[in-house]
Amino acid sequence: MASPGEPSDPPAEEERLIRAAQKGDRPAFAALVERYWDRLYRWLHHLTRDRHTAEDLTQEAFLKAFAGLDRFRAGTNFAAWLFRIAHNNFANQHRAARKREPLPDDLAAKGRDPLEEAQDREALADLARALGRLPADYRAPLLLRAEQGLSFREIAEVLDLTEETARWRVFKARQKLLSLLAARQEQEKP
Amino acid sequence: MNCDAARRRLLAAERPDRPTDELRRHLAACPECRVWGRRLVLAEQQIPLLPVPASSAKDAFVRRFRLAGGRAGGPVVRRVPLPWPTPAKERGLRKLSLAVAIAAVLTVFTLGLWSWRPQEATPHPASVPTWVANIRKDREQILALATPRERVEKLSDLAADLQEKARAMTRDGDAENLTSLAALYGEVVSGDLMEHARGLSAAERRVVLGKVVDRLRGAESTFSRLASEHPGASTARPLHDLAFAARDGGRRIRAMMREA
Repeated sequence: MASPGEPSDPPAEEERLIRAAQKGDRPAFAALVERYWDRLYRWLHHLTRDRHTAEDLTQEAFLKAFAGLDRFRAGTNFAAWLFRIAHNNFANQHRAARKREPLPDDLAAKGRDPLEEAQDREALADLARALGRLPADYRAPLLLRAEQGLSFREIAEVLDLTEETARWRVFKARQKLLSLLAARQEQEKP
Repeated sequence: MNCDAARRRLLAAERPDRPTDELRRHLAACPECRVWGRRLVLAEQQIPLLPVPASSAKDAFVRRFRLAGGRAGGPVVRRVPLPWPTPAKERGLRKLSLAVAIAAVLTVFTLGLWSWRPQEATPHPASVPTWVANIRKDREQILALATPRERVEKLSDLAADLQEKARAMTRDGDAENLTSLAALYGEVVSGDLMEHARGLSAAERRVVLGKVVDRLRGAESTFSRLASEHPGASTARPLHDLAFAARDGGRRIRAMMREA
């Protein structure tokens, strides 16, 4: 699985872009936005389950990253740094939202299933539903592992945890996910 | 190794799809754990396949980010509080500023309390969604630009971004946010854009306003079509408001062009 710091372009190109952006080169930073937007947005959408919130948080993360780029040490893991900024934003927003109302669950509850054309849409819809029912504290590290390919050490760095806690949360997330999927299969049995 | 230990190791593994030799031996001998392990691996492999609605904001963000180039405090980039530790000196300065701010607030509060007289209760302001706050900030920054031409061009970009956002909200059936967006669109198109277009010289009007009119015509057509596709939906009313604002804006801009 590819590490998030190693997308299709060579790491040297990313480092060049970062160094240029640190000197105020906006097109260089825009290239970094192009490179990471979809992955960051996708992760945030899984966490928030709301498109507009995920887009706002993605934009905010990039703005904060640009504002604090001089503090980033070129050569270290830019993806982990960026995801960490995004997670801090999400955590702040989630804390505020939790006080007001539960997060919407568009994929699971509103029946808007974009998998209509896919052969295994039911299985994926079940998976999406189960994933949506995981607590955000477990969902975030599992997604970083399964989707972004981060190691437990990198997950710990993003979420500001110890490596063992990151491993434990992924363990619990997997355990809960399988148990939800198994319960779903039991329900479907005639 | 028993089944419970084998499953716990799989759950704790960084790569459950690459079990250790010991685990592999257990899986080879235990069909139940093999099926269980396959489910775990399959679930993780399918997570990247889960659908997520496409983000329409990336292109606009990148475009506006590039457009803001060179100008400190341009329309996109805002200084925001940083979520990571700052150097000790800076922290000290921040603490000092915080102390001064708290003292000021306490002073104002004391004076307010002293001069307070019972009045009718005022409603607590409703919380503003982040995207609305961001659009408002962008708008404020555009309105602070130096020349009417810059302001008109950037306001036209902002209206186009709002149009994209409206399409996405309509697709999601998000009538509540669409209503807020229609109000914002009205402020930008019927208010700001008209006011600053009047500040253009005759020559600038001829150069700049043609594109603005084209965009508004396209917006009107888009909003009208979306409203007619779902006439009974809760999104229809804000879409009609949006179409009206675009049509009215286009009409008034064309009048300005005729004057030029």
